[in-house]
Order: sequence, then structure tokens, then C-alpha cells
Amino acid sequence: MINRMGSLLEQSDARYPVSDDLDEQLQFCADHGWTDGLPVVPPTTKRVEAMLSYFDGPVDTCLANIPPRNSVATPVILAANATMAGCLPEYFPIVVLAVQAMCDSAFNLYAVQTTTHSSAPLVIVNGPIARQLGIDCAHMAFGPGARANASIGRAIRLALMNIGGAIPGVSDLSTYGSPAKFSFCIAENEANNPWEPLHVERGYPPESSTVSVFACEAPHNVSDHASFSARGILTTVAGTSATTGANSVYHPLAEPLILLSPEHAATIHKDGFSKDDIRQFLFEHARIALDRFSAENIDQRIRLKHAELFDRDGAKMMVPVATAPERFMIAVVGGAGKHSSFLPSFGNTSSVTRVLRNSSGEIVKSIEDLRHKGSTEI
Amino acid sequence: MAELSRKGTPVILISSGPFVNLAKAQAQVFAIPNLMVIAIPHPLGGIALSEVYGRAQVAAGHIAGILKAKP
Repeated sequence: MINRMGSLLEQSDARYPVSDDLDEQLQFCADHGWTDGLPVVPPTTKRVEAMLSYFDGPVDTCLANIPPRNSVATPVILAANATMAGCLPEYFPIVVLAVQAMCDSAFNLYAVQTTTHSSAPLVIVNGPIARQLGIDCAHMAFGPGARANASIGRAIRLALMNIGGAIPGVSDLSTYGSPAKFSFCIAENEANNPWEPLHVERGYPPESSTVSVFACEAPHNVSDHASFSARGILTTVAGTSATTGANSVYHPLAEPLILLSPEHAATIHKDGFSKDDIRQFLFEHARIALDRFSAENIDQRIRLKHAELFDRDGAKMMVPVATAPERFMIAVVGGAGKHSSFLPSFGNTSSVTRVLRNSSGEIVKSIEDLRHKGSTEI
Repeated sequence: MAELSRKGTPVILISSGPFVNLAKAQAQVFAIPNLMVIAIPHPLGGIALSEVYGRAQVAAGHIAGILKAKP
């Protein structure tokens, strides 16, 4: 029986002698509440040491304090979680960087971890290392299929649970959970992005590799097979995003995330739209008539969260999905097909981008730059 | 809350049922393991204001009892 309350308070750096029997090891991990419900790869010393071959530095250093438990994420403990998730060692730097990005105060991980909302931290990887690691950006970016996507996302989730203490039903009190809470990691389809990729837009060199983290819901599909203009496709995007049930509409600082498929992006770009043009169009058109909201929501939330607009327009108010154009986050993801996606934000959170550097602080261009010589013993 | 408690101010947390375990765990995280937690029925959101007042009154009674009992 899993003692979920016990695992909530358990020290995350404990080590246990176990037998060599795989079934017993799998059961041991499950009994300790370390899993997401699926069997994990037992984090034996040998496997964890292999994972640490892509970490250069003291293995007991503090990489982050993960809320709500605020336990220290050391390299060895994060490597154990990455091992359990099925990561290859070369994925580990991305896991580390993503966890650190989520622990930036702007991201508000404490709230994301303990909310009743169904949001989860999404990781979008950019740059050459995304391609080196085979992080899928196209047909099955959200899964299933690519080991990198599945295991990096899973490693992060296990770390949030096992180190951060977001124990399902005890401290992670999402009303119904989410498939996105199993694994939520993709790469941007930079080859088919007619504009600047996300990391360049955020000020990083094209040859750098970054992770960007967003707290958001699982993707809402935007199916548009008829529009052949930018305005047409963006009208469908705006319509899809205009939903009264999305958390973000009640949070003025929310950053709705729009992931355009390559085909939709090409059509929009062909009409001369820049990313800022997209943002401006969505700001103007992604709006919800006030009478779509319940009277209680208008009284307790809308008129307070959008006070200026409410006071100005009253019953004719069109509630914006985003309160400023720049709040729309845009990237290009997916393969062939005319489906884009809209991911409502958790709301009270800001996305964070971090660049991959070596131990000297230099931006790395290859994942092999992070493989350290010699072995790690723990 | 933890800072107030360390300064000697009596601190009592009111939590609706499903969040009590999280509250107690966080009290340990913030080094106030003896934090008093009063559980009230869940949910609090979406109920009539009169019902909110009723629950507040019950909780207030518990709070008064705890504070009077403190040495």
C-alpha cells in the first residue's frame, strides 16, 4: 500500500538496499509512491551514475528548491528521477534546465503544483540540441512516440512529485488531473517556422539551445481546413480561444499559448503577417461577449479583473482572452495537417526561458559539450 | 503566517477539508509543525453568502476556544 502522506514528508535523498530481482525493484518503487502510476526504471546506483555523465559539478549541489515541499533538487536526486522516467543520459541537461526554469519565481510553481486547475508545466525546447536529442517537433510532438519527449517530460513530472512533493490527491489537488501531467515536453518546429523561433524572439542567439516553460492546459485543437487567408485562420484561432471555462480569461496577466501548425503558419505568413500582427489580430478578435458568462462570474470575477473595461463598456463588454497583444505566446509545432492548438494559461504565472550553458557559463552548441570526462561515483 | 508564529502571534489556519493535509504538510515545510488547522466543509466557493457566514461562525467558535485554552 502506498503511504501517500508518508511520501509527502519523505526525505528525497534516502537510499535503499534492494534485491537484484526486477519485479521486486519495480514494486519497491511503486510501494514508496515514486511513480506516476506506471512502472519506472529502477534508479540503481549504476544507472544514476550513468545519468550524471552529463552533469559537470558536485552531485550534491542545490540546483533548485521545488515547491511545495521546497526540497532540494540535487543532481543525484534529479538524475534518479530522470532514470526512473526512462531518460537517456544526454537528456539530463534539459531536465535540469527545465526544472530550474520552473523554479523561477515568475513561473509561480507553488501555485501550479497545488492548484485545483488541470494545468501542467509545458516545456518547449529550441535550438540545435533539440534536434540532436531527437525531441519531436512535428507529427507526434505531444506524443506518443519519441523517447526524448516522453521521458524528459516524465522526468520533470516525477521530480515535481518526488522532490517537490506534489503528491496526487494530497498536495496536487487538481480536480481531475490531466494527460499533460504524465509528460509535457516538445520542441518547436524551427525548420518550418517562417518567423523567428521562440528562443530568438526572446533574445537568445539562434545557435543556442533553450527551454521555455509554460504553465498551461493540455492543447485545445484548432481545426481549420477551409480558410486560405491569415485572417481566416486567425479568426478560427480567436474563436477557439474564446472560451469562458479557461482559467486565463480570469487573470489579466495570463499568457495564452498559440502553437501554429506549419501549414497554418505558412498561410498566415504568406499574407504578410508578422508575429506581432498575429498578436494584434488575436487581441482584437479573441474576445467573449459578456452574456456568455454567468451572472456570478461577472459579479465576482469579470468586473473586478477587468474593471476598467467593465466600467467603460458595461453589458456590451467583450472580455479579452488576453489583456494586451504581447501576452499571446506564439510558436510553430506540428507536422502535416491543418490543425493548430491553443493552450490556455494557468493564469497567475509567467513563462520563463533559460539557455543551456556549460559549467563555465558558456552557451553550448552541442549536447556532447556537456558530457564530462571521467566517471561519477555516488 | 510562519513569520507571525515565530514572532509569538497566535496563528490558526482555516482550511476546507481536501486541503487540510496540504496545509499540515506545508506547516512542517515552513517549520511551524504545531500550526492549528481548523477544517471546515468543502467547497467554500459557489455557496450562498449566508452559508459562508454560518461556517465562519462555527470556525470562529473553534478559534475562540483554542485561544482561550492557550496558556
